[in-house]
Amino acid sequence: MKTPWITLLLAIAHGVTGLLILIISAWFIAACAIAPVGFNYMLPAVIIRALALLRIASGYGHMWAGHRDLLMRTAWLRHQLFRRLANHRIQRKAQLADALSAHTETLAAVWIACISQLATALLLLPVLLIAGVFIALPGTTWFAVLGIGWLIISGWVVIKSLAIAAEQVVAQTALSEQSEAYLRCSALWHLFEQAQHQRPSARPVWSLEAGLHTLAQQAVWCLQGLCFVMIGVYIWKAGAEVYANPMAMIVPLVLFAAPEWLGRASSALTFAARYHNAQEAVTSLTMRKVSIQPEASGCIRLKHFSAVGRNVQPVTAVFPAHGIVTLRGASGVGKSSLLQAIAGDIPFRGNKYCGAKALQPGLIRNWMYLEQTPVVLQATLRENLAPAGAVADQEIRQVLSKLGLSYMTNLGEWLGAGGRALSGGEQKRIAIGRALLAEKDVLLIDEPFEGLDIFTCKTLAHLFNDAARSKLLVIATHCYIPQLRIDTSIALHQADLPDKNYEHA
Amino acid sequence: MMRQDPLKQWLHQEVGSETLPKLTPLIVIGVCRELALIAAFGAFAAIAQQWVIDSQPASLSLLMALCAALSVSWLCQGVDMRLSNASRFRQLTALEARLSAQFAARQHALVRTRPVYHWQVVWQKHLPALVNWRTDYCVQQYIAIIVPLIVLTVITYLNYFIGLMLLITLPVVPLFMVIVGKGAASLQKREFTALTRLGNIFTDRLMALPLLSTLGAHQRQQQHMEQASQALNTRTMKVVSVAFLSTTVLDFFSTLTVALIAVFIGFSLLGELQVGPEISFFSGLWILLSAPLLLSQLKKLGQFYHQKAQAATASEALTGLLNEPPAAPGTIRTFTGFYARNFTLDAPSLRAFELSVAPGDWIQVSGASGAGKTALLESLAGFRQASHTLGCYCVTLSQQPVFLPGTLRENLCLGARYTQEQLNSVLQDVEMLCDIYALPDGLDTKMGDQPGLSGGQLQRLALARLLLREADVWLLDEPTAHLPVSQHKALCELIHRCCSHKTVIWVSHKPLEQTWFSTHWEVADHQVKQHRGDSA
Repeated sequence: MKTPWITLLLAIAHGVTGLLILIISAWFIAACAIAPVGFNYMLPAVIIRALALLRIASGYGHMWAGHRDLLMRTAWLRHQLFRRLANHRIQRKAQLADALSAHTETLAAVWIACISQLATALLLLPVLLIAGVFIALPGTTWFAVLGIGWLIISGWVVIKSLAIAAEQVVAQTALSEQSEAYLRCSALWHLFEQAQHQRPSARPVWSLEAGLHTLAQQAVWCLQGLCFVMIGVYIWKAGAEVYANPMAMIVPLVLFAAPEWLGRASSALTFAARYHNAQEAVTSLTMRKVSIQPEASGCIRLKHFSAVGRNVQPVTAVFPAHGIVTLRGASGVGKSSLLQAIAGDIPFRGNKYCGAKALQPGLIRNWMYLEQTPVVLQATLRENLAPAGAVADQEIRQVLSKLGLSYMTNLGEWLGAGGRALSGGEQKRIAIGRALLAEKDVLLIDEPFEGLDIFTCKTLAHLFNDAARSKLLVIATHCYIPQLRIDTSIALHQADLPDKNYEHA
Repeated sequence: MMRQDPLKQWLHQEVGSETLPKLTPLIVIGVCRELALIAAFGAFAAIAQQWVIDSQPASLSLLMALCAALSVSWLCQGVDMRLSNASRFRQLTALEARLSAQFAARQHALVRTRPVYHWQVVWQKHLPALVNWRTDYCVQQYIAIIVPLIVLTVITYLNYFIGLMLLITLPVVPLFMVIVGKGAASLQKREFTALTRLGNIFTDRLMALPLLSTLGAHQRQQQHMEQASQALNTRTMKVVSVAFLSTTVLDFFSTLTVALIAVFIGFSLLGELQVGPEISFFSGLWILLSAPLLLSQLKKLGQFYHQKAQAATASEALTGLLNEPPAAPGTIRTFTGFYARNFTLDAPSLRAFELSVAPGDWIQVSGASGAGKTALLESLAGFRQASHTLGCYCVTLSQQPVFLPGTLRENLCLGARYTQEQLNSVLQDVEMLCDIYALPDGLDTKMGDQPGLSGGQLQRLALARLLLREADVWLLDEPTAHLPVSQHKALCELIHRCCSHKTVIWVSHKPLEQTWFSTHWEVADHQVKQHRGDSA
């Protein structure tokens, strides 16, 4: 992304004109009060009004351009991140997705929230100093003191905010873990001795957040204190050079207004903490690459096969090239992870053969795993059924009618937030329709019948029977659907039971 | 006008007026700060008059007055900072305690209704949003009205003509802001559907990453996302470019006020303009310096404006969670019997003409799934507001045993102290002693690492945990629902052996030994029917 020069320029113009209006106005009325004959009062009056208009315009312009830049930058960062994530897996948590979207926005906001203010301050200070020297302004040295003071305060803000940022990460991680563990075991709360029950509190995180907030305020406050002291000393020490000199107004006025034009730059520096944390979170995002394996078709043989990290009896089985295989077993026994391991989505132990070929870990291109909670994209119906594109509308309609969803006639209809809300059964069927349209040879379907009414189950069973003529369907289910023509059934058991409990097909 | 703010009314209803600290000190300090600043401007203007017009050094009394005013303003600023921080923290603590108390009172009956992430957001994001709105926005609302009035009074006192002009023009500012706000809102409404559709496509596609790589759709969706971002940005800019006008209106008036006052005063001093009373340099400078304060507080209010929307979102999620919780569930250990006539539970709706439980009763509860059996147990235990509760300490065994990530010992003790003999004895009772000591770390096995225990074994450990609690009443909510038939039978026998001397209310879909039960409750059509004794 390019540097947003226009935004910066507008921000500086806004800051400079604001200060100039105040200075020139005060000087102007002082000059008018002691005006010598022939004092050209029209020019300053015009300048003041022109500056006012310039300030208003640049203020709006800065907000507009800055926001536009923020939006474009956010989008750009997100697109970069998303591109990096092609064929990668990250933790599938709404929490992480929300955090990433917030972090990219923070990273993008650095120009509008921090750099603009900083640039204004860094430009104004030397300009004031040079101008002061140039026009022999009484009390110019105070600008130098102000600049040094500001630099010290800003340095302190940056160091302190980075320290808080580091603590914030630790505290936030701890709180997330503790609160998740705490809320997950709500069923146990009544068993705790009331007095002994350690309830996590968000207060450490809040107090750090408050610390950052206070730091920003303190920076302004310190600067204000410094300015007030300087005003007092300036007036106390003022000599004859201030008499009848309208210029003498300028230094105290600049100091009066300093919290406004300079303080904001100091407090904006606490943004360093947020920026640092966001940067850290985005760059250190844990992602796992999933390799894509070439297509494989034929009989599938599993030998002592199990998903890594699950405590299930390894499966040894043979699946036909097409037909329906069901996986049965109590919930929690690892049906889903077995299906995912077969699809290659998660690492596995043991061996997996297709025909005579031993398959490597990684997604098999023509196999597909369908989750129990179906994914419905926030997109049109057409996009949902064919996310990779290249499917004719005619085909989509056919599949919809097979799924018993022929009442969804508008393929351009939006699904999800801001569009049509789907029932659980509709979501399931959309996901299955998507799988059928993807023309995969092996579908590994997790609990397709759960939560569906009998009529829909029947429709699906017929659809599966039909599809099984050319595909292999491995269905994990604990429902009994009489219409489903099952070729093989495999029972899964937990590892603590004797060996005879796994079945050879 | 302020009293009618629905958000404040909501907060008042939910939390009550006593719990949260008053905001008056913050308002007073904020106003004092500005007052001192106005005084300082006055003192400075007087000094300037001495310098520029009278060509004298500043008089000591004026310098002292200036220093005093500046110090007061600075100290007020510091105190305000401290106070608002302390107040923020007190409010957060109070509200967190309220939420925590609600959790403690309603427990699993409340938490299970939403995903864990929802509660984390409510607790860790929405509470601060509400508190920030109250400490920043609500306080600033008052300051933004009081300070301009004071400034206007000072200006009118110094020069009634300028004061009058300001009095006439000032109300135009809020008027314009309202008009602009309305315009932005209607634009926002027009774009609402598009904005919600396009708004979170990024998070949506992040959640769908596995699907996209399975289907080879990543690239296409990337393109879609880029197009969507572009469309979203264009539409957002459309709304925002109007919304920003509201700030610009403020900027316009405040900048122009200063510019015009300066020119007016300058020309008056020159004698070019003769309107209103005569102006001295002193009063002119004072007016000029004070004029920005007329609108700067309103501008600050605008900076806090986003807090209002966040607080509104928070209030939706927090409704019903911040009020004084009902009495905590019973802690009396001994159960002396329960009789309820016209038992009523409102959410979900459930009625019973008569329910009775005698100590030592075994009650089987049956009914279709979703009929409200779990809710019935929860209300008997006191976790839901119903007309009657058992009123004593009950323990619950749920479908899926839950374990903390800590060690097995911590999971059994749950904060209380038990001797090794007690632990061994209950493990013996649930027939898990040998299995546990066969694990490499025994009782110190970490439960977070999936120690290789089956669903049945985990449920036995949960049972052992309940046995340690020595409660008279046991509420069993389908403890065998997820177990295969053989394990179901074994566990039921075990429960029967362990709890033969307890009062047991047992919900089950699977067949249970009928001879164990003295009473049968049937839940159907929002009614609980009691069949006592003899029918078994």
